[in-house]
Amino acid sequence: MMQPVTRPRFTSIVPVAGLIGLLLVGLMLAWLAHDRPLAPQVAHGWLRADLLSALTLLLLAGYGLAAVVVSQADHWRITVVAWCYGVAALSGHLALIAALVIVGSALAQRRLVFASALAIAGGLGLIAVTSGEWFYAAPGAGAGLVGGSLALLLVGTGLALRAQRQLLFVMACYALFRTFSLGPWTLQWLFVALVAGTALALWASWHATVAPRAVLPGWVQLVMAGFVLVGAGLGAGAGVVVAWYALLIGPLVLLARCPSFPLPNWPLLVLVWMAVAAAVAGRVTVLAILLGLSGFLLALALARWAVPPLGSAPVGRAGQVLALVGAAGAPLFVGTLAGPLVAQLQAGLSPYGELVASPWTGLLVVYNAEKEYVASLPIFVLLALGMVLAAAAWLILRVIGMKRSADTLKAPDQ
Amino acid sequence: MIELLAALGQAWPRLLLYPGGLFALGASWMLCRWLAWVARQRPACAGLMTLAYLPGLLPPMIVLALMPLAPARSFPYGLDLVVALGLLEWPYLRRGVAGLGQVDRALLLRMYGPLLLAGGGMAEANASLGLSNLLTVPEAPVARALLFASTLLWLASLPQILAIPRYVEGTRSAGDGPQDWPLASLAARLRALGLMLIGMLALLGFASTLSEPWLTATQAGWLLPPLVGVATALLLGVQLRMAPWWQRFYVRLLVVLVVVLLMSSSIAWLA
Repeated sequence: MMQPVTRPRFTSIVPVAGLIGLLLVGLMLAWLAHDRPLAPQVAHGWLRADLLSALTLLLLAGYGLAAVVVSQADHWRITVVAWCYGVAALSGHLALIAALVIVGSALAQRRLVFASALAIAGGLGLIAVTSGEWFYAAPGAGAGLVGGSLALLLVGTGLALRAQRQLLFVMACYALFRTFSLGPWTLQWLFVALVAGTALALWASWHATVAPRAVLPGWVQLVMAGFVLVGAGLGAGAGVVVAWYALLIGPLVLLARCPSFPLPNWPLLVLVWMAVAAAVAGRVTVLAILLGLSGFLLALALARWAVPPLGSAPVGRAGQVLALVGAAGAPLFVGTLAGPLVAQLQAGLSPYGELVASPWTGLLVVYNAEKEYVASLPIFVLLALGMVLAAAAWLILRVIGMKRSADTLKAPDQ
Repeated sequence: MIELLAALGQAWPRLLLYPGGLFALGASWMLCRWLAWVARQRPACAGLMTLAYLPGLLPPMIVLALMPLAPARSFPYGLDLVVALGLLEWPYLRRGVAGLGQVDRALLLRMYGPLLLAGGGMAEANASLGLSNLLTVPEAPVARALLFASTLLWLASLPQILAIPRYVEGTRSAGDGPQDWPLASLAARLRALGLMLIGMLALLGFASTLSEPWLTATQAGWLLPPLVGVATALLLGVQLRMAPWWQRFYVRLLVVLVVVLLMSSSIAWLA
């Protein structure tokens, strides 16, 4: 008897197609705005896209697709909100960005989400009002980076986390890191972001260690959000890379809400390495120790659930492959996207920590302000040596096994 | 890509002979025998190796192969403290806690807290996490003292981390039967050797600074690693023979010392 074929309905395909479209636009922009921001004269500054915008689009699409896979309903709303935020990320006008953030959040129909959007919009609005410039690329816009605007943006980010809306959190991070293209943060606000991020990472990793599998991805996402805030608080190139790598591997953690999908262990361990190395490069050793502690607790939580449950082999294997790609792709991400992103945000970044990569040798290196070597992670070398050793061990074990079975066969004749 | 392949081509002696390969197997076996003798335990040996053991065996072997130890030729893709510690501990953690319903966080923090602090102290002293940088003794007296104290703390926290039964608080009470020897498997021995060698690197740096007037670089490269290695193993043995209360006091004293020096060093840098 033939199985009835369930055809995907038009209403279920369109949201996915919309998100894939957003992904393609993001990829195209990443290519176009790789060297310098894209700001056509005819748009008079209303349209402005740089690598930060392109990465935001890619992340919105990634989180959107992961949310579509994880959740059974709300696909249309996820797509519309992602596009709404995506268009906001492409705009150069602060009022338009703020308005689109509010419109996108209003669709969620939750008070907390709306409050977060209001805080983000308020922060952006305050930048414009204080500096008198509504286009963030205008030369005088940096004057708007006052304590109030940064505080509002940080509060908005915190509320987005509390509301557990990944798309809004990505948008909040976009707004937060956009401020670096206006100018540097003052020291006390960097300190606030560092303390908040470290406290969040420690608190969440402490709880993640004993959390049941069903809620573990939520705690891991909070740890990663802590690392994002720490990345902002470091206010250096290495910090930016940490924050955006954390956001980039976020969809994999979101997918792990499906019980059969494993948590991306290797990318998370690479993230911990990045965060600790960036802290040492910034000569904030206490922070490095605390982040190391948080990373250790996170590793403990991941180790507890490292063996995927049986009976879900194909999905589990796909998750393992994606995790491996996420870790092995880190040098490619840093070399081709994060490096130029740091260059474009250079106006607001300090030289205390630089994370560079050579994509073809898979080497990630962190340098300090004096351009001295601080840390290195040779991913491809580790993979290659692992494969060589595994092959050698397999061969030796095989030979021993053959010899032993030959001896066993001989034994009855004696 | 070509340079990566060329570097991998140079890595063969490291993988097969020294500091990985045969040396790692021999040295880890000797370290296991020595620690068992000191702890008055029988150095039990795990059964035959199978392919299932490889995930636990390969990461520590890679760390050992990439150790910046003379007289091996230097390798352009070195490791740092975080990566080395991650590769040494991840398989162990995974094997130890995978599938556990609950984890004793307080116990684990007591075990790993001093080690993480020592790692932070080493990183602050050299302003770097690189393992090769541990061989360089900093010039500033505070940084030098911090590196030395951190190294001692690193080595002092090893009996707990390696869970040598006699010295783990609360694991032995009257009437307990014989406990499993924790270094029975090859993976555990390689991990123990890796953790000890990281502590040894900084001592090697101090030794080469002290011996600079008498030894050439080549002579130091051949002589110092075995000498300092034996000295480090002896130090580990002394720690294992310490009375438990003295061991606790020693670790706490070093923790306080490292914290004070860490703060002094940070303040000196800021000033």
